[in-house]
Amino acid sequence: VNDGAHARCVLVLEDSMALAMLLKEALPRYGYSVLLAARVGKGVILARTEAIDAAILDINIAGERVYPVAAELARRGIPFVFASGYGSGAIDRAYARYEVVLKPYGIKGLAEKLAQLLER
Amino acid sequence: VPRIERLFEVAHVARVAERLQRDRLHDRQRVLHAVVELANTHSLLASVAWGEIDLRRVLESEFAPYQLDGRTRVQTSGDHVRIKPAAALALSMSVHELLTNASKYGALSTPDGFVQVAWRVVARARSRRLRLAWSEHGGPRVAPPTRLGFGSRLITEGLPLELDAEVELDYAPEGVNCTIEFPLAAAIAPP
Repeated sequence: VNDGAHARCVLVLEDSMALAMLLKEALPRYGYSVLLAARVGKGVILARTEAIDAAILDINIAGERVYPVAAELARRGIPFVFASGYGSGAIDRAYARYEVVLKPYGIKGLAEKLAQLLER
Repeated sequence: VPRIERLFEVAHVARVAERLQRDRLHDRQRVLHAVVELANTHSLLASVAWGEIDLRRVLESEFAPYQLDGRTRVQTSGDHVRIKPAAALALSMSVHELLTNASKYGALSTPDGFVQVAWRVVARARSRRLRLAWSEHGGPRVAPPTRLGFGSRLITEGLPLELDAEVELDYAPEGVNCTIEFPLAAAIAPP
């Protein structure tokens, strides 16, 4: 268990309040601090201004596609994965090289995926 | 958003919550209740085809278990106002946390205590906002918690995040007060 002092910061774009708050609760146990955004606009601001190590982006955020956040992260060279539920539709071809984790993903699986992203 | 994704939200929250519970980060009963609560609100929203819903209807489904035997432990007063599904989900979870807390430690933990819940639509800077006030009366003297639990954080961090809400949660000695104000247009899209 990480004490949080050297936690890596993960940006989470998620519009389910229940899920977002549970992730914020759970991920510190795996050594990650969590920045949350539930709207694309806020996500773009965080992606542009915060010290972020990795990100997980739900493709559909409150009826919008998350790509503006992805673009900002890509510009800064910050690694990220998309998250997608059943029926979310295909990823834009411009982002085909990024991985997609399927919802409902578990915490352990997500933590492992984040570790992989940070090793690269 | 396809309907099936809404079911996935419940499944996903259940999965993550279960892990937290196994890691002993959370009280088993509370985590289970939160998941059931989420599922209940989903089913209420399904009954209006995930359209706007009357706030009173959302609140009263929460309060029903406390209004037994002709007693009104939770007194409500408020305008007729329709809210978006995202607001209904976020508010019902928050109110559920307040209720759980009140019945364990607050006004609803004693025979004579009661809660007042009042809401109205206010106009501010060209936006229509909903202002909801929760106040507890007649309960034991309140001691501020030494550490905020998940329920409190859901309200003080989750609501600003999800609904662009302004929230005040006050553990006043004579009873917990909570005010929540958010723009009615904030929950623009389905959750």
